[in-house]
Amino acid sequence: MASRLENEPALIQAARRGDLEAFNTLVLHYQDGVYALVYRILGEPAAAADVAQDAFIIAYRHLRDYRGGSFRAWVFRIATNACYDELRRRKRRPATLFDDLPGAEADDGPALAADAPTPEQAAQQAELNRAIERCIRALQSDQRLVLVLSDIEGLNYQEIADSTGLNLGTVKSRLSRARAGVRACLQAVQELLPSVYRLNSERE
Amino acid sequence: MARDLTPHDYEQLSAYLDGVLSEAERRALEARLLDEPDLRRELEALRATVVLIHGLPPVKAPRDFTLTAQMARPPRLLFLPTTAAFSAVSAAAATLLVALGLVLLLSRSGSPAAAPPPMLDEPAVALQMTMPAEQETTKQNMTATLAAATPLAEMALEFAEAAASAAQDSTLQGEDQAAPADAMLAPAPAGALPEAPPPAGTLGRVFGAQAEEAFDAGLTRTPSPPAALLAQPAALTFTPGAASLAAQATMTPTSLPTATLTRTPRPSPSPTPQPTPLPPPAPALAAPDGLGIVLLLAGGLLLALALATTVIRRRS
Repeated sequence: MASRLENEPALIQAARRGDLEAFNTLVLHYQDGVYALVYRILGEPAAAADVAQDAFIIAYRHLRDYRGGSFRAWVFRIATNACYDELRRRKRRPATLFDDLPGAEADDGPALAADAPTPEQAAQQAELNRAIERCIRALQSDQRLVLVLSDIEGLNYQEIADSTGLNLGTVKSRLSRARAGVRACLQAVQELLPSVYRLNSERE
Repeated sequence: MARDLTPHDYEQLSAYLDGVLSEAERRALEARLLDEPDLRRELEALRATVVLIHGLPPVKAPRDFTLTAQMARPPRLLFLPTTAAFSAVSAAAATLLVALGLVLLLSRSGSPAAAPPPMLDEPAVALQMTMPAEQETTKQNMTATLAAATPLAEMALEFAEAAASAAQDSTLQGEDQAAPADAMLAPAPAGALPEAPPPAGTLGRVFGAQAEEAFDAGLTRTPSPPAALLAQPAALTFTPGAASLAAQATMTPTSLPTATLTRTPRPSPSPTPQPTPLPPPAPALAAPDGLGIVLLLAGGLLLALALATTVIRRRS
């Protein structure tokens, strides 16, 4: 994800001229990041796959609007907007609110890293991850977006600003509120957590 | 969470973790961290939070999102703004133009057989232009145009239903974008003729498609005072269309009974459709009203635009 495509500018140029294969090389490079972003925002795998696919189609059709800079941030911006469209659609026709969904990881969540040491540790780690994901999902969507872009996707403040259209000050304050929100939420499951949480809660 | 920390403190801590504080801010915060254990503990908690989030197992795309040639094909008419607002505005403008054109043609061409009712003059036009709900206007004029185009409005409606999907299909096929516009151009002048069945079908198709749009949106007609007012003069020629539309769209026409009485269908000039746009028995159009026809043409074009953008938007 963080690795860069060496010939990315050339690929973008070729894709702009209609070279679909060049564009698909970019897709393969960014699809995990885009899917993860969309999945974390929407919280639902099926919808996330649809929205991610749409985002790449939109990106291809609007390649001429890309004006240099971080291509990843540009693609993420398109994916982010597609997510907002999807959320708006859901609000208009509320089927299931993603915040109310049970932890998606039970049946269809992301595969866990395969190097689980012991079954007990693996189970505990899985439980912790579920708690973290629940806490992220509990955030307001605008905070969750910034948090996902920063702490899951690894974008810096400027890239987040580029991806969301927010100014740097708003990125900074939303991210801090999102982190504080997750941190407060995680205290509810302190027995799972590293000692820093437990020490803290004993004092209060 | 320590109670004495402000949102600003959290912002500073969060930015500090990311290394984006200014030099002065960083020094100030580090000085405070030395003195304030609460602040220090909160910093560590936030740091742990970020580490935990970052440590979530990576999500992988469940499949490849590479584009097929089909997906990559650009939508036609991409240069058009395909927003809902654009479609709505062009549809509204088209409706106004068509309505004005029809009113002009009908009122100027008043023959003994189909004398325009007094109310269908300037006040009616003004009324129509200021009608608040543009959907009402649209539907009213759909009805109007359908019925005005042919006495056999039911037939036209059947045409319309069949043709609407066909039109949509052909647009979807994406062959030549001029086709829909041509289809609109052709019937527009003839559509004003009360006795011109074949063009009526074409016009009906266009308005039929529009009708489907409106019905898709789940609109049910709730007669507002202006609409009801308008229906009375309009009913002189509009009744059949209104009735058949009502059957399909749960419309409840308010002023139809009286209207039916006043309607006097004119016989067709000949059993077979006349290709010439000026059939002798229609003295109304022996001297065609240029302005009215121009308005109809422009309205038709705008409507084609509205339909095209709607179809494109639905696809994407």
